Amino acid sequence: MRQLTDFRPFAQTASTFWTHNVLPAGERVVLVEAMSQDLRVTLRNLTVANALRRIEPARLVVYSGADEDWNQVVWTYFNLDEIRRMAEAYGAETVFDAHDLVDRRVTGTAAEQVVAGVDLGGDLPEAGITQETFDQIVHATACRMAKVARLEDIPEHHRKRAQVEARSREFARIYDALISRNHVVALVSSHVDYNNFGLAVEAALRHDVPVLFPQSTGGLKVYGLFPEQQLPHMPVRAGLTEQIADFFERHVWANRELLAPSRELTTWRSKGTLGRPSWWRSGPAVSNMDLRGSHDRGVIRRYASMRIGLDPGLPVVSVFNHAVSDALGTNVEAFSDLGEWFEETAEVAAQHDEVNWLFLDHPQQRLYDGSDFFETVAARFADRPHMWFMRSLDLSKNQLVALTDLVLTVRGSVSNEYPALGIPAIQSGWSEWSGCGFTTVAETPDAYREVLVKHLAGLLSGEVLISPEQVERARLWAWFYRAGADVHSGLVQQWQMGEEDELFHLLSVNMRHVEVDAEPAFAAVRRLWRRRDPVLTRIDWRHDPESLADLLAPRGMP
Amino acid sequence: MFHLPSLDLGTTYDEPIVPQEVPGIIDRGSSPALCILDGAGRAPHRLSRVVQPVGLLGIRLAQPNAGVRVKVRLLVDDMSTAMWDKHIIRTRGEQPPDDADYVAPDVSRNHRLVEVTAQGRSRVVALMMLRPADGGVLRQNVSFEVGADEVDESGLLMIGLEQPGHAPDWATEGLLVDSVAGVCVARLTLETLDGDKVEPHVSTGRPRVGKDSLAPVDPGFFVVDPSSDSGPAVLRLAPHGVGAGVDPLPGRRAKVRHPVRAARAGLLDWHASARGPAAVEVVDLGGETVLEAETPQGDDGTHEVSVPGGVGPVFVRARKLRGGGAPIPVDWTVRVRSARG
Repeated sequence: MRQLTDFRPFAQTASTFWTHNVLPAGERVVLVEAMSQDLRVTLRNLTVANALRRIEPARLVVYSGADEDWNQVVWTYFNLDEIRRMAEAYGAETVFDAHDLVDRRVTGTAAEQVVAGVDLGGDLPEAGITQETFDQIVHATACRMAKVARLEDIPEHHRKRAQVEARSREFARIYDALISRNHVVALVSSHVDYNNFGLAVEAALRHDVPVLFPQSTGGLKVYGLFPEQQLPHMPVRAGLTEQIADFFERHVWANRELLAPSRELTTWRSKGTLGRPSWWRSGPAVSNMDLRGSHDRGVIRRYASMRIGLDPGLPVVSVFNHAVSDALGTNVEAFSDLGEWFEETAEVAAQHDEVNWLFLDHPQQRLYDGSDFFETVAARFADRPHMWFMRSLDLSKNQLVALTDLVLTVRGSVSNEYPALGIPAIQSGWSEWSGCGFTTVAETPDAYREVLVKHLAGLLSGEVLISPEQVERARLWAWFYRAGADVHSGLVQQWQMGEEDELFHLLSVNMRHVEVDAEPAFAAVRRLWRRRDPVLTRIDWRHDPESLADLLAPRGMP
Repeated sequence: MFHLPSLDLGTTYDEPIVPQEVPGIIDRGSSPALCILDGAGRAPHRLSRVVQPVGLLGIRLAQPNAGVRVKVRLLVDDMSTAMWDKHIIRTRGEQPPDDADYVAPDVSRNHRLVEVTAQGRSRVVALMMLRPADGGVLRQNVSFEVGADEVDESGLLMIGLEQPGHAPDWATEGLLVDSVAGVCVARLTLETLDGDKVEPHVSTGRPRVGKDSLAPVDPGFFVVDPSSDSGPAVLRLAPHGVGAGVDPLPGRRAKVRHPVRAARAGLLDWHASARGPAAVEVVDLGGETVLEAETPQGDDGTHEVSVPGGVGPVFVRARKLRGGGAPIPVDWTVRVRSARG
């Protein structure tokens, strides 16, 4: 149970702090999403918004709320009053319940509700979103709420889609109205997927409003989605993928010698589940990776093979299933959905018994799938003795690394973890790191099957499928993700601090007793904003190598 | 073994492993020879605690090609119960309550079965059952040998702990689910192979008294672990307290009984005191019945059973036959020796 005894002292402290640390509000607006039950998410959004308001005078308008679907499927303790108090302490002019407003608009019971000068309860025109984008967002939301990989032609799914579509139409209207009738400086949103988040992001980008996209992990991690950097007719994250790849190449890869000790330390810490562990794997006992070389790997491989019943002499292809209804279609993908990729991969596997195939379910699948998708696919291939379907947590990280010779995923972080250990990975979609050069990325089903079959042949012939440079790139990305693009700020604290009294006490101490000059969150947001960077960074990468060394202070470099 | 040529598992920050000299004892989780821990955590004052259904401990040996005799001290205590319970809560997808609100369940009538493997091969099984009279901790010692040809040049000795997969029904009644979770490996003693050989031994879930072990009606079976040469073994079973020259158990276990329990014990004694054969079943780890026989009662009141060699650890259930009726479970005093004498 969350231990948050009294929120008021922090709210008072924050209110005083922010009064003196942002510019007086002008006519313009910073729009902030606060639709997560976790106060750490809203804390990040509001902190980023106020860091921006230090340089861009603007009013703070916050939209929040949760509907019955979200409360049933995702949240367990959503508390609008708590969120409202926090937003007001951070200077919000208005905090409104967008979900409730949408529900009332759908049922025709909305009364006048003026937000930032716009009556959101009155008649609003249709949003200018394209039908294709709208349909994609409706589909992704309906799948998530129904907890299925894809919608079937059944009454239950028809009803769900109709309900989501009606709500989405109203979400699109109110976001469009808010953004088009105000001078909006930026939108700050913790998510860019689903109707309640994604339609605001889509409206903002369509109206030339940048979106700052804080991440729910680490210290302060933020991506910047700038309208001019969006790729036309592509999903919202596609431009980000290209921008990050470019940034990585220009700043991280170019400074690889300077970063070598940091790269190794991050890899070592990652093996020991330090830093940012995969959130979906529980404690270190199943997530630590102790193997150091092929001897260690061989012993564990023999053991794990014996347990499962596979031949350790044959290569093992590990297929990491996704949470099948999670954020469908928000980046470029070869297949129409995550489930189709998994099924198609199983079809390929059925034809290739020259290798072992390990199909692993996502550890948190029960939160995303109510249709027994994984079990259904497993049953379809039950007669194939070279294909094993297992729960991911039934194998420790040591055993997974010992067994896996090739990783298959659409966009999972395994395609960073395993290449960093010299194990090749094929992605059938784009991710934040897919342009950084350490995975093989297939963008069509045919291309995917082709590279997969080539990789199988390569494994059997002893070909080196991932080069030392690619391993180095994968380790550098791990460093960049965990360190270079993670700003530690006294105004946010690390995610692992939780959202209890201890966090708010620490935040209060920082607000009351620490002068804010050069506060990392402020400096980093200012830098990102002025340079239109795709990602918030811990240091200023425009410095020469000598100055970068001063900033990074790498071990062993005088 | 398939070799992946691109493999690059090391980092420049990997700390050096100090291989373990044999003979030697590892009794701390901080031991530098303990290089792999899987499904298990390092214990500060003991070696390790298993936190998953399967635990693996990798120890780097200084002399890879010499073979080693391994003595494992296993332990279950109240912390084992709490760790097991929290593991089960998590497998249900729930979060365990905070420590302040947590109340451990009563598992004193449930047992654990711990199969110990080395290099992936089954070696011994320990039956563990923590009862209220145990003062909060139960220890079991098991021993086995790992041949010189079983450890490769890396010197990595891989000890595994898991629950046997094919125990007979009568051994799984009352068995905790994922019963290895929470078990503590208190100590590993490593010896060279030139000393005393490992003799067959029994694990009944109770501490041993001299050469004898008490195998109580609950859980109603015990385990016989093989000698180092995997030879046949002879079991000597005596209805507890009758004829085997074993005094009633001393100390805290001899305290005054509640009247109901005293009456139940009296009934068991009455069954046990009756002369007649015993029905004995022996089942191996693959679930195959190795032996199913009636053994007569000797003049000294005991029953002798021969367990064939080469079958590895076995589950044994012995029940008293009285007057042609159904077999009756009784407490046994068990002693085992190698058939070679």
